Amino acid sequence: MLVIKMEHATVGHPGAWQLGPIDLQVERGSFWGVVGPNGAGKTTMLRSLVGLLPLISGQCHLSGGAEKRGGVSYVPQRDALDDVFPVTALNVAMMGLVPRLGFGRPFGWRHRKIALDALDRTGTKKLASKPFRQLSGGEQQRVLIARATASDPAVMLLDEPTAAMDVDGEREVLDLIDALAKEHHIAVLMVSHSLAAVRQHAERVILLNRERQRVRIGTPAEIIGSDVDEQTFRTASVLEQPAVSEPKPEPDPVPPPETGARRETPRTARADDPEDA
Amino acid sequence: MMVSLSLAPVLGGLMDLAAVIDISHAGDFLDKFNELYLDSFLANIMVGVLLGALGLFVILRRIVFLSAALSQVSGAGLALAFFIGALAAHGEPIEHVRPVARPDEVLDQHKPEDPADKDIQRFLDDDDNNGAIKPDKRQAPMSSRPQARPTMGAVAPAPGSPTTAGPKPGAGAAMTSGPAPPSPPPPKVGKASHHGTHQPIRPIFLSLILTGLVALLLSEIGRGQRRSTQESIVGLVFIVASASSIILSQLAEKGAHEIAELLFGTVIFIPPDQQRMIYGVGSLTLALYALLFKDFVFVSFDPTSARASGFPVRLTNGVLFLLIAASIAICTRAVGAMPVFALTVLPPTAALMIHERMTPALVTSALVGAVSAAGGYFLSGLLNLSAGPMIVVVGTVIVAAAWIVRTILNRVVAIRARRQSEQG
Repeated sequence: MLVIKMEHATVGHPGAWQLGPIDLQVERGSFWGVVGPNGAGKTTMLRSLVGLLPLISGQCHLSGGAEKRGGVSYVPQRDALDDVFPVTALNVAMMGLVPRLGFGRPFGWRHRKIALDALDRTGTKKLASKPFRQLSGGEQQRVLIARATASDPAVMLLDEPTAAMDVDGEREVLDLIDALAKEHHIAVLMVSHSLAAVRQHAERVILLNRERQRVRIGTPAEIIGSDVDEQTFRTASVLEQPAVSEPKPEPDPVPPPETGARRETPRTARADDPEDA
Repeated sequence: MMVSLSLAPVLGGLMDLAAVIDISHAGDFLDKFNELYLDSFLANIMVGVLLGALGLFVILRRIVFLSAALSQVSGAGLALAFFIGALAAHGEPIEHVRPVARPDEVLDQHKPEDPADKDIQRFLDDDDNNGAIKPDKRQAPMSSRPQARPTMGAVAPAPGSPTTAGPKPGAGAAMTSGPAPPSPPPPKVGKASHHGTHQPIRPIFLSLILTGLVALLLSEIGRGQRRSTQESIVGLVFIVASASSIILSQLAEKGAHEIAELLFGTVIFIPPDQQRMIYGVGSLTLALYALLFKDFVFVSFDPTSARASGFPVRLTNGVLFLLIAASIAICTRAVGAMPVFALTVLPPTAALMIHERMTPALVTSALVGAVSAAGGYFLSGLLNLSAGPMIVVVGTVIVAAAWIVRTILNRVVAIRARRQSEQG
């Protein structure tokens, strides 16, 4: 089932930089990796996909449950969250239910159980009453993934979920994401600097580099290859290689949109909520 | 010997301080408390609960300066209302603009010998009484109840002044029973003196609207802007509102007095109509706050995820900022800017030092707000000092106590962890 369809989309910040056109179709249950050098536009693209940032041009459609409130879950980088908040792991997991519950509607005991089940799935139920800020990085990440899955989303976006983790911690978190995606049939789009992790878990890879205005989409073998080490990739030299396996864009069934067209999505509420640039 | 030598100057200083503090009115304050001060005392507690509860998000969202800016905007709204009233009274702009007053001149306006000032003060007491004094069953009899907003501390008239039974008693002793004051003479404060009967807009409503609008703008402005931060815009609002309130109050002739009270929080008597406003708006605000608490936590803790999930973040932020603005506007009018700022900052600071969960932190913050407001008010009456600064003193003491408790708890936890690791 299709959940995200991006057509001739250009992402970026008007007046600063832009990257595109991008055409992609994300199916439910698929695992996508978004890779590229620092400042390549990975986070910008991720946010543009779900309406946190408006598209510069082109269109993006959400469907298959992703268009509903709570249909998209976002797992931010851990350092984006403020430690000043006195919230427990259970509090954080319950936040994942707020979008489905709606504005002004209180929690019930049923929601507490759903959140505890979500924590259980990520192996953090025993931490439910612990202050979130006192958890380790890996534990915090697991709790955030529990929050993201609590609302049974169609799409889960993860922004560098394994940043600053050791190898074991990274493997555990990625295995968990992979298992949850398959079990709950969630489309996963994960921004990562770890090529090894993306190569191991992702079915499709989006490679971005805004400085060179390059967008490549394909399988991990096509984009990353097996003989490209991470250091080489990080210096972006891989982008100099010819796109031997780059899939050709499908014939466009509709005329190209006018420059400056905004993202068209049924979720008008989200379109009204542009994210911070 | 060494200890006594080192303590001697401190003890001497404390004795000097005790000599300076005037407690001669404490007995009278206590005697008259139920009759004169109880209603204002209870309204102060409501103010403390309200601001303590809402202040939690002011601290968590790191928008402390916002509450200071909004209280200044509230003051500017009042000054603007007075200015509009002055214009309406004349049908033309004020011709005479009073030169900028020195601080002592501003304070001199509180001298009760000025009959015109009494009249203005009477108008300020009740936004819609047009200068008339209405009997209120909840207050002391006319012969003894304060007919103006009594102040304490620096702006209070000297005890024993000829008008101790009049409109501006300084402290408890000043609020002694006496003959009913003569009917107010015609206002004589320049051309602006008739605005009491020509006030086209109730100051509190204009203040509420202006504060709410600015709060809504501030909840939006700054997001997505790379060349300015929300903090810098809040600072801009603060300084513009401060300057505007001073200029408008000077143009309106009478406002400087009111603004001085608002800034320093010297008011100890809250008029009945403002008490009703505090209870009404406060109850509604607290009810909405409780209903939407989980939404406020969600959009404050992780706004990006909230937006990605399709949750109405702008609406939620707008409601939160409006609740904060309404509370600040109402409370600033009643008790002044300084205590309002203090009560939005100090109680949640203390609560967040102690608690690791939101709901207990919220309850503690509201309780600390109530204790700070009540304690500060009561001490101001006992010691004949301004209520606003005394609320700050009590709140600061509680924050210090919370910091000590947190430090001890941290030590205990560290010692336990060390022992466990040693045993393990």
